[in-house]
Amino acid sequence: MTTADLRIPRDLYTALKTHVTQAQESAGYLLCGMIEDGERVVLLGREWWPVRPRYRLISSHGMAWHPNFDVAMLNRAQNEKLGCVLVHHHSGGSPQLSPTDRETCESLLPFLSSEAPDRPHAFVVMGDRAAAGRVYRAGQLVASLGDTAVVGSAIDRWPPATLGLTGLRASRVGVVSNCGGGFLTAQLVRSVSEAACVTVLAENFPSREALRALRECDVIVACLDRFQARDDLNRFCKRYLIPLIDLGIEVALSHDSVPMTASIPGRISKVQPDGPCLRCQGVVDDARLEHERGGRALGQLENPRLPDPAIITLNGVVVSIATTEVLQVLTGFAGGESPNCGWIYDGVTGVVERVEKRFRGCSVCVKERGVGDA
Amino acid sequence: MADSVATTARPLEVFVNDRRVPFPTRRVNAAQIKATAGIRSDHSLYLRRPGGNEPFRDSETLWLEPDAHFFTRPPSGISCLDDHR
Repeated sequence: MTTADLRIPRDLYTALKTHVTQAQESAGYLLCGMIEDGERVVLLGREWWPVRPRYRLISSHGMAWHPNFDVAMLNRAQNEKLGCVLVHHHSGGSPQLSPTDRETCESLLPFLSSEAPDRPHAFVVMGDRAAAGRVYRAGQLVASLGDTAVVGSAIDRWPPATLGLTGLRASRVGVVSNCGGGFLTAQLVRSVSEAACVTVLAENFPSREALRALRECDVIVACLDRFQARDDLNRFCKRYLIPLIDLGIEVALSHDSVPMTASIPGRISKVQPDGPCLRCQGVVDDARLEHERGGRALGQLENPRLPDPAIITLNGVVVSIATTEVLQVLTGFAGGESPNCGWIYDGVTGVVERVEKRFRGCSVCVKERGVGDA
Repeated sequence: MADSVATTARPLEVFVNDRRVPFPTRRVNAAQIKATAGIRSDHSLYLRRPGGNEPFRDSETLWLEPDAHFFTRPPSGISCLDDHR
């Protein structure tokens, strides 16, 4: 039997939850991209469409709506190659489909999944900390969601276990680094914890194997020199709704006759599924990518030029902040106090500052977010 | 109604919910299509065009094309109240 998870960015989840938990019974469509890997489906929330008041019908109990809304959602799903997830809410920890729910589910889901057969569609009842439902594909039931935790980096109400060691033990952290850095990372992790399961992929990103492994991660850490690799990883993380921690530090020298240390800017940039990406934050842009290519065509890069010195103690400060940010992303220990874009470290003054930016939604954020494997 | 009905030489066939349904006339309204296909009146009629499936109100008149594909949908509903009965 196929298993299914939901991965929803915080902004969509907040809108969804606000709508479906209001006093008047309400429902809506979460249009989703997806990850499909054998018998596992991950539905990636991309758009939230509440049932509009003009489609509501008079009903003796619960909520009823005109099928024009269902067909409008089908049209959008067919055009955008997305799956339809019909969502509503029952209070309680372990919700089940009611008879009315089952009647709609057994009529609507085979229909949607026959009309848009090349992707899964789902009927989900959300409880306070779990979801129940069914997943269909090509007219057939392929999975039942029973007491399935709604997963994602941005759910505001995590299952309690996630805040403790059980949740952290189950977390998957991807580290993408240069020139064999992954082997060193793996060695260090193994020396710290025998319980940690470490997989080293000697693959270039974005090879098929690397993509397949990274899309399952709960958070990805980028320890890279190239802007092109950062840009690729930025898109990838938006596409699969995975938080990205990108770090870097440089020692900039003055242009005096005897060069002196001019500045030591360090950066721990955080990209959340519902926040500004590296392009929105100004870390990556087309001009930098073009400069890095040095006139060469896309994909024709030589080894990175590393003229600047690296000082391990300074790197260590940045890495420690990044690791703490990984823990924050996984556990949410800072709640709403965590800055949305990470931290800046000044290696000269030793000052660490928060980075907060407005989410303006660049083309990567709008086009790539939540599309998954499509 | 007589001036709004065009009679065909032989029955024209369209598909409603993937089932062939013959029509003696090409100009009909959505309610007539549902009635001829034995569809409940509270269901709604759509012309199948992937990505642009088109709804028709019951009173809306259509000019049938041979082998056109229609589908119908009932209203949808959800309820948490059933849980507590």
